[in-house]
Amino acid sequence: MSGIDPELASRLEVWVDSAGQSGDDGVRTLRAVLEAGFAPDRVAVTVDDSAVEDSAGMVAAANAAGVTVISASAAALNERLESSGADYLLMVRRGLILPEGALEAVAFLDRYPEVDLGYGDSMTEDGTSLLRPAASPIRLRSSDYLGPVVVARVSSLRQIGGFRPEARLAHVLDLALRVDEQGGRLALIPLMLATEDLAKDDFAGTSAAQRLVVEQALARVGVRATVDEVEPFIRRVRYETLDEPLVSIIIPTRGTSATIAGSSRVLVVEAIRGIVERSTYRNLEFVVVADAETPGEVIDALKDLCGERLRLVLWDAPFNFSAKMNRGAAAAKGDYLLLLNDDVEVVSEDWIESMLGLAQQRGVGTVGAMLYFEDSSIQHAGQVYTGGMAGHAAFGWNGGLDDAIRSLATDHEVSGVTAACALISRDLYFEIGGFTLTLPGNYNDVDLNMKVRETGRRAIFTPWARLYHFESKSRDPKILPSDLENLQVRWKRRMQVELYSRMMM
Amino acid sequence: MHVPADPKHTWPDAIPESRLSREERLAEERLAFTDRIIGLEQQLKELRKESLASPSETVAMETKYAAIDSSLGQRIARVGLLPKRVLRRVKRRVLG
Repeated sequence: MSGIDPELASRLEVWVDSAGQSGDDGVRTLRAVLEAGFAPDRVAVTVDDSAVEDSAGMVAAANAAGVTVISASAAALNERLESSGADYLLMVRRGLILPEGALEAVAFLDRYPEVDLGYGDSMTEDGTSLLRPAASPIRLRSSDYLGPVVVARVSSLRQIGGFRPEARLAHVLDLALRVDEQGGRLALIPLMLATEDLAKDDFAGTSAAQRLVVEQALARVGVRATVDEVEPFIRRVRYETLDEPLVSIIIPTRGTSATIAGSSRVLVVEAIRGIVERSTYRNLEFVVVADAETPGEVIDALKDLCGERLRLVLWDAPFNFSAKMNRGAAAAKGDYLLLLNDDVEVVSEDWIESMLGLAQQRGVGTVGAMLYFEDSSIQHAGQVYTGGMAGHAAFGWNGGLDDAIRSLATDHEVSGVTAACALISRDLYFEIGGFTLTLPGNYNDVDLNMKVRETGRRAIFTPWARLYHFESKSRDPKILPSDLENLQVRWKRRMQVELYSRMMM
Repeated sequence: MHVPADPKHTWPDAIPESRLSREERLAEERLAFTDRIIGLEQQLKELRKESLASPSETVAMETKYAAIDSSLGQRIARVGLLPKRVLRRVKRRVLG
């Protein structure tokens, strides 16, 4: 063995997976593993039977190199797993592993014994980086983002029961879902582990196999949902909402007007009109926290629109967004609070169902929406926190653009979501003390998200809840030095590195 | 709908329930109190010595710092500051 340290080699077994690869690509993947310095006796190729995939070339290459060929049946894989003397199993699924990739993957698991399964970044052959997100169980249901190289502890795989026959052609995704399900830990190794191309071919029905293991994972944890294929390897999970809870939409307003698409409109009235007329979710309460100066005509229009579902709450103090939201939350009767700005307009009719279904998932704290500027460019697709500062992912991108791992077509974990449109359970809102009064105008939502995350829950962005947010692109948020100080005194060290939206900054 | 620029209405007078009830007022105060407690806890956490970063964050930060450290700009800066560092060392040795 030339490149790999013998001591390391004895602790590592490499499996080259043929699932989803063309015969030629599989051979290239295998050759790269051997060229990285792994001795053939530490490498195995896993292939399905010839009726399912064309693996003849890979088998021939393996035989020629003295590499063991294992059937990709669960029984054969489990037999090999049980007899393995290795600490770690490195699963190479496609692309070309970098010689240092294996070392870095193993070093990461050595350093962090609490991690059960790791995955890393890759790059295309022309040098474009494919930066993967931090562990994201919700995203995993929509997209197997784990990349070409996945490393797992052999003991962890044995503990979760090894490979399942039902997960044929999607074993790695299935393992990751089950590690998370059983309380194990997935982790991003933020280092380049391999090169790969971005071909989206679906050899041997791998995409359908992934969908099946996701459906099975949802069934195992008792989540009722349907899984639709948006495109090969990208799925939309439609969660059934449980018990149709009352959702209180809290909107602070002064009853102001603005010119949108060339005509003047009262923002709060049109925002609520859109919800009343177009939203399919019906069990709603509108809690409008209105300044005393709000025109009477606006109040009358709100009463006409909402009827019995309206709760008007007076705000008669100097502007404080946080305090207005907290007052609305105190008056709200719903099990869930939908925090909403008054300068929005609903686009997708099932936006509340999309957000609520996610909010009811285990471990989810806040859920945010896709917000567009008036010109249909992106205003919000999750927040990014880096260097102690906060911004928006994909800010100003043209609608329809996406990153290489299709983040804008998948529900996914984010550092935070804007309070311009965010859903949170009332219980959680009270558990964390709502919005902080120390941040009356800016960053209050960042603080809210950090408090949510501190409880162990996650912030989720969904691209399936779409609204316009008529905030000016050139809006000057008038951030005071004290805003940043008050935010950073609580969270600065935990806002240094953005790991969820790395391709959208 | 057109809204007059300078409305004369005082709508809350006609809607007494627009003011919070006693229970609601208490809930509002509870929110502020809970936030103050959490805020102090987090400030203390920020001051602790131990790392607050996850394994992935730690490796990402190390990689970033290593890249900065080996960057051309950093190397030029080190060369530029060399005389100053030498003088400081000499001064320490001479003056104790």
